[in-house]
Amino acid sequence: MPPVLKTNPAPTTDADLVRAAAGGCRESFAALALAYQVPLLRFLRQRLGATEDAEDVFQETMLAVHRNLDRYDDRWAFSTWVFTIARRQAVSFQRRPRLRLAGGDGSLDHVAARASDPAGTVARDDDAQNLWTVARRALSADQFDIVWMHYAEQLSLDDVAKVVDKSSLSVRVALYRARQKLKRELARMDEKEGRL
Amino acid sequence: MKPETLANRLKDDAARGTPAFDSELHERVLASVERAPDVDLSIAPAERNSINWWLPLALAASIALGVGIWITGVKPALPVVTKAPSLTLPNQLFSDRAAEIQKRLQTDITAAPLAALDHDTRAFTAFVAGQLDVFPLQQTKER
Repeated sequence: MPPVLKTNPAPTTDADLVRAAAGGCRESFAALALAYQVPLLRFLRQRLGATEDAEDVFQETMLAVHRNLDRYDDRWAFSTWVFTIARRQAVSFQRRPRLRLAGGDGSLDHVAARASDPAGTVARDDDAQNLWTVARRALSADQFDIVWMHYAEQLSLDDVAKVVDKSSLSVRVALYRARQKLKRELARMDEKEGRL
Repeated sequence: MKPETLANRLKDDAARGTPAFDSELHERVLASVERAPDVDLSIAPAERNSINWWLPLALAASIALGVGIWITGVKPALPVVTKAPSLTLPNQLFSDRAAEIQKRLQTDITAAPLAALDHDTRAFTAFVAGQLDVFPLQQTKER
């Protein structure tokens, strides 16, 4: 039996889109996927390091969002809910056995292509200067998520607490410690550069 | 470094790494949602999750239980209410039960008078009884 897809009048807010999508409106779900692609990819790419991994996890996140649309609690911002799912997907992705170097056909061609790509090399050099690359190296996964949600996604501390499933107080403490750690790491890097 | 400086740098660097929208990825996501084996788009997620799958199961179990009772002829026990029920037999008056136990105790004592005593007591009682049998006259003389 072909899927029955309903079309509703254009909803405006995320909550409207979620309601419509949960009711079977394909366009509403497509609008949500479109609106959250860039912010989620941006987070996942920083979190996981590789664009391919970020795209895979983004796809899994949107699948999980679709499966659980009716569980969305509209007391919270949709962005908070989506980032919570994305973060969990990223954590479970990182826990999987590391067999992802091979391509879909089992070859390593795309890895070799990336290594010899001059544009990719420039991008990696640029990445090294990015503070988030330093953050990924210096901070724990939880600290990185907290700092990202607060500074990059501009989520309130309560929303961040919801995403990382911690109390607001422990988020505050983690944020403070992460900032201190980052400062120390930057000072160490500056000192190293000064010596060279 | 001041906290504001660090915060601004974090914001700026996050914006610097913003990827462009990828329409191919968007299409891939929509296709994967429609292709997913456990996602049936003929019903919406809300409808799918509201199906009470346990309802037919509960109905079948109730029918099976009813048929079982009907076949075996088991009738439910009816409670018997008395004014002062005894603990062991709720449908018997406490006074009747006490009288019954007292009567049985008396019968037991008559049948075996020493049954309620332990071994040492019985031995002592037998010894005293034997002494009385052996020296009844002597005791009388001494007095």
